[in-house]
Amino acid sequence: MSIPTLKNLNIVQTVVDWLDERVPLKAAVEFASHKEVPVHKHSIWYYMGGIAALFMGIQFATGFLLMFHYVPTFEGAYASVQAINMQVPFGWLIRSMHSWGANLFILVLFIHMFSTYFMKAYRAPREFTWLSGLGLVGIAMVFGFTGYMLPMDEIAYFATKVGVDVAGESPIIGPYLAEFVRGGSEIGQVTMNRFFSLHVIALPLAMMGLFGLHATLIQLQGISEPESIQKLPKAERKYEKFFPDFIKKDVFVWFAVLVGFMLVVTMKPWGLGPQVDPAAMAPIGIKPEWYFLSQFQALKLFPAKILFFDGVHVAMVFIGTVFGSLAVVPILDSTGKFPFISKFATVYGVIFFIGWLILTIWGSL
Amino acid sequence: MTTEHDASQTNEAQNNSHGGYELDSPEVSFSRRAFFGGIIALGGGLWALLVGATPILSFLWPKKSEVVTVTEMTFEKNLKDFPVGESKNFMFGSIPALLIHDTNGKLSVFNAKCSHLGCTVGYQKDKDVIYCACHGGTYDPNTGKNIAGPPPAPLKPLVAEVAADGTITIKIA
Repeated sequence: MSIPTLKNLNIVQTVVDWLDERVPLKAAVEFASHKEVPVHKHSIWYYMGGIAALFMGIQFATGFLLMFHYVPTFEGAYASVQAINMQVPFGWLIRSMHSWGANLFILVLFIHMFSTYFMKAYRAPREFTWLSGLGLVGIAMVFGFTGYMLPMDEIAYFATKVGVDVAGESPIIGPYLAEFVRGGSEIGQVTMNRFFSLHVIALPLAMMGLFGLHATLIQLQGISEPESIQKLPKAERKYEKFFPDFIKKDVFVWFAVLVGFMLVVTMKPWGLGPQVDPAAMAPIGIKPEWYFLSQFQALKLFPAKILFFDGVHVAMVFIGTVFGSLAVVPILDSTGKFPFISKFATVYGVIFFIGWLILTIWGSL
Repeated sequence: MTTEHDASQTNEAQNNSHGGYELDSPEVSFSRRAFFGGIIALGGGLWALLVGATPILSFLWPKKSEVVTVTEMTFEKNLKDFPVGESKNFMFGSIPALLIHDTNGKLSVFNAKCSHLGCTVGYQKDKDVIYCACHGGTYDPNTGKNIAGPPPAPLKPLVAEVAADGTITIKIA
């Protein structure tokens, strides 16, 4: 760094230079400016990851704010959420953003997951990007599960009961696992402490770590192009600079999404169900959040006994295998060199998606 | 070239043989070193896991829950105020229970925890069944037998006794 004289003093430049010596800013901008994003008819799906990251940010910010008024006790939680919704200035807005945000976050993650699946973006060398993304979807769903216990309304109580009892049906360790998760034989204060600390400490840290890996891999490996575009002659393939061209559009999309989001959040503020009464029967028509409806419907469909096995065990193996296959099938197709496996992966994805959609809609009826 | 190569290998072997090992070739030295390194890493890892996990798991493990065990309680209503077709969900100690004055005129009382995934069941008067709203499990209101849907077992029974004055007492079976 040259020492500026009064004549050539340029404050901005001086500050930037000073910073650059300590934090390699120019190298980062240089790196970003070399990165290119493919431009083609499927490019719209490239925005989904960014939108998901936006929702993740909204969840962290609104969740942090909610903790200033939420009381994580079995007796007091419901009243505190009621107060947030009805008494705390703009409490309804923050809570509505957090609840809507959670659902839309998972929706966008699903869209992101299915679009990368069908564009076969999981292929080598991006297997770990796919797997870390899958892990993020899993964490987001555990976030949802632990989060909707916290208001202690009817659905909170019965969803937790069913969720924990499903874990309790696992072979051998099941009963211990259920006892461990619940922190006792019944859902109570101990369960709430566990869910709360998972929801506000462990899961955010896990998500940030995995997201860090996911985003770093994307930066290092660049953005994947679908096969149909890779086949095109070089002259017909178009690219734009990640920085500043793609980022500009990304920011525009974020603003558009934010506007739509705030419209929904304010026009349809998130409500609160009736307070739980542990003695009362589960209310008729009770359902989990939409992202668990496919599993919920599958649990309903399996009969009490299938041959020598309890239906619920068969259902669990079925659900586990189907979701676990999302980690396996893309890895089988990772080289992309076997047309049969490639075709199989596509067909499997279509069947998975349609099956998931049917069960989800059926479960919602 | 060959001599040079050999010389460098011998050199490597000599470099690797420090620390009192008698070694035949660099490959052996490498694999033996890697083997002991692996053993130490594995042992250390297991040790760390044990030392780390034991206090953490013990810290988190739920203490024996102090469940208030109830063996007998008086039901809140007299039989005179609890006509045929009436039902009531209530807490029997820490467990949810369901009392039904069934169509045979008999009092049936069950632990209301569904045998499928633990939701609380209730009586549906219009269909004369015990129903679990979570996954659609259905039970016979007289016997508690699972008759439709996913539940793998009947409801656990409790006992209802009626005194001469119509007082209903609920007991464990």
